[in-house]
Amino acid sequence: MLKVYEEKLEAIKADILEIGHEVIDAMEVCFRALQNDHICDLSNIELSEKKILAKSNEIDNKIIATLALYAPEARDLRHLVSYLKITNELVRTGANAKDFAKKFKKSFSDDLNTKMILEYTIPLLKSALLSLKTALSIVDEKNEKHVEEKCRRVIVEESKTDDIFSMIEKNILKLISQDLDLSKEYFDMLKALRRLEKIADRSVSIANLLQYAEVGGEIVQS
Amino acid sequence: MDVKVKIEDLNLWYGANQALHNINIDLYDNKITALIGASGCGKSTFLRCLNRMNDLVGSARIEGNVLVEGVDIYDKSIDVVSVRKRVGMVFQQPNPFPKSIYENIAYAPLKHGIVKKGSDCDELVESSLKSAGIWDEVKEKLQAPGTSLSGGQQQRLCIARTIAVKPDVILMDEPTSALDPISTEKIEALMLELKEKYTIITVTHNMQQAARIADYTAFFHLGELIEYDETETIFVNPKVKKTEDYITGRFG
Repeated sequence: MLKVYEEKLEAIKADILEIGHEVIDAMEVCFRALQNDHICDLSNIELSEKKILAKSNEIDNKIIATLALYAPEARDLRHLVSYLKITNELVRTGANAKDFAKKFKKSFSDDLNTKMILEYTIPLLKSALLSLKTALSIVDEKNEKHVEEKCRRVIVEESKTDDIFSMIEKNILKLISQDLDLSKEYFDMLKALRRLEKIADRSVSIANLLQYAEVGGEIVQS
Repeated sequence: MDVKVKIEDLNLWYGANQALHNINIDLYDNKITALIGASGCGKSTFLRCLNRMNDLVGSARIEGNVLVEGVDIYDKSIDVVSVRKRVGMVFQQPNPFPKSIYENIAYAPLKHGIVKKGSDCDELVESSLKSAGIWDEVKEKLQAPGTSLSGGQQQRLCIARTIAVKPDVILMDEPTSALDPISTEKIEALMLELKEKYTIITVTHNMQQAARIADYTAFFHLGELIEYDETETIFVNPKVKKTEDYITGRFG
């Protein structure tokens, strides 16, 4: 492929990573806020869904132009198709991260069992964050074995989020049954936590797409 | 962006047959412009108007203006040889002279008085071959016949020969149609390098080639310029249905 094509591909990769890192930065702000028990810091996240969507559209248009102009094949084609789908995953991930911060802050109150909530939310957020970080690290990975290994790590983190979410869901349902007056607050909290689980799901999807791009086979969307 | 070549109301007839109809187009400096269209649509005829190659066709009659940097190359006061020096041409089939690699490059510059025999000429030969990306392959055999090179090398030799007379514009008429994919990629990469110094106008039947390398693309049909725009626009959002039908293979 021509140098100009390689340059365009690198620019697309850089743009994708830029969106990804914006989401990661926001999640790290959330993580620190929970770890330091400064829930009000959740409003510090600088994540604009509009901006991410605009950037994602910009990348998609770049990809379409690159597909039209360079007619890539094999690995080159797989990469561009994967990137086209990944931008959508990243938009959703960003929306989930923002939603989590907003909903968690709104639902969190001393009326709830905050100790238990934080005890589970911190590892849940940690796993979701790690799954996204690991998935995005595959973008620059060329070694097929490393790609597959990283994919497995993302899946492990996603399983962890599933398990932690199941545990906290079970505990919250128990608390609701003890005090029905707080059921709305607890359900809202569950909705917020569900966003983290979704982030891990999206990370698996990103990892699978990147594995497909590098290793080949068929697209498998989780 | 600077306009290097401006074409105004260009019409061309071969005898009674009108081959080009009222073409108006601005070709930009340091850009690659690809001319696409089905066989017989007039793209090569148009290309040949840009360095007065059609003067060699007895039945050809031209109306309109072709301005290279503001000077009409069809003006009576203009010397046709100087036009072809300023507007060089690379053909479909590599056509090195039956001379040595060195002489292929040195012939025209010596003839035009651009250099004198000796170290100046040696330097020009070397720099031209380097610019055409073939120096490393031929530096040890400059006295070998140009025809002893492979097809792709011969085409790059022809490009070096064109560059040697220091043109402003390089015309290329399907420069890779006789080459294998590896040689084609080398020529395409070379064209992308050369556009930094020259204005390149190329005819191609390979639409993917136009898409890959051209900054602007002009689509011709039955002697008319149907659409001319940035290549990305032509290949992603063409404005004219005929263009879309052609590039998507719905007619040819």
